[in-house]
Amino acid sequence: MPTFCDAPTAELLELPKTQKLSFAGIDSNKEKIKFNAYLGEYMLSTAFVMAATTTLIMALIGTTILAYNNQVYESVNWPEYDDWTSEPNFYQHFNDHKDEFGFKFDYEFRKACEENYKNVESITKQQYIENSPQGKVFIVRDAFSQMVSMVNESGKMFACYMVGDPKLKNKLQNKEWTRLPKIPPCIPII
Amino acid sequence: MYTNNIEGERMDNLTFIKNISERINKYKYIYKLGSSQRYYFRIDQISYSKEWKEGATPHNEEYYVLVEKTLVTLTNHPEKLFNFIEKNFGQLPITFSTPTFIPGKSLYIGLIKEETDTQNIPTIEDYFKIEKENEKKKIIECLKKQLKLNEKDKINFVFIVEENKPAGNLEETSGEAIISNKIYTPFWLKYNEKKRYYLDYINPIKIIDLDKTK
Repeated sequence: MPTFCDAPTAELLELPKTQKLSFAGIDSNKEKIKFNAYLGEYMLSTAFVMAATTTLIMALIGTTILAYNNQVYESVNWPEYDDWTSEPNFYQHFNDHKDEFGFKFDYEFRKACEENYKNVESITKQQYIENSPQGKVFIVRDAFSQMVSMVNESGKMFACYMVGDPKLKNKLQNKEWTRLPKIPPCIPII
Repeated sequence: MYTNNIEGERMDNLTFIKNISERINKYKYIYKLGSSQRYYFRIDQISYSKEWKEGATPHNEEYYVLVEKTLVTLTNHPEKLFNFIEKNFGQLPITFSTPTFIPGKSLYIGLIKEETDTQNIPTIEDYFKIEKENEKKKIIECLKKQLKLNEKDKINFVFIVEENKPAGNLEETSGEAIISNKIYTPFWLKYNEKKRYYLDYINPIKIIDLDKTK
């Protein structure tokens, strides 16, 4: 025989065998349906409030990131790489900058500059845009190697060299370069 | 007459025209240009050789690469460009983008930019009035001096890049320019105490207007 503890009296009570266990204190089916509907509505509204709150938090984070960068962003069509503007220009850059990166052969430099531009999704890469009188310049800089690949609107690379942190800071401060927001795949909320 | 392309396939007149037309159309679309626009094209003759020659760059453990010759043309007729290439370079393999390594000589064809109405470009004299003391002004001064340009000449910059090495108070700057629609030149602004600001690298090339020549 099941026993229940009556807390105030601490007396052990015996329940009659025929007694039903009530559902949230409701016995009739009609009332149960009403209660279920209420419960569903309550859960839905809670889910809605949670979703709205999450959206608001995300929006606040996004706004903070944008505000931090202090810039207004437009949608940017990032050009597909289409090699260098010219071979002499490539060889000039190779001869002038190969030592900065420790390259011996031209194909190594060409490949590194190309991959630096193409692998924009890498966590170490940052994208920038420069509005030059000759048109938009699309820039990718690697935080570790400090290699910068510069490409014009038709996808032609016209420069690849090293930009150190102080120089980068100047370019951003002088608003020569605009940093594009890089939203990490996972934003820590806490 | 045929020209081999870099993969070894034979590239006839029509294939060449198709390739150039595609490049023109892409450029036209990106920069929103009209159909009557003319374009500057560069043709680089590239040589991969086991022997080192003056100006050659090491390509790999065995080969050196050298741009032996560059010609610049102006036209909006791809077939004229094809005829010009055959006349001046024969039937060398052609590539339009990344040069594939093949020993010997090959050609690289690149679209530099569209012809610009010179009315929209300031003269050197005007540049001096409007430009403040910066890299661009130094380049103009040096181009004028080193290429013996006239004050009425007009410099149309294809691009300018401020490199990451200070040259005096300014910075080393590389780029390319078209002067009065007649001369194309790459340049590299450098500085030393003796020479002061100077263009370390210029290679002025006379532009050949294919629509005016037979």
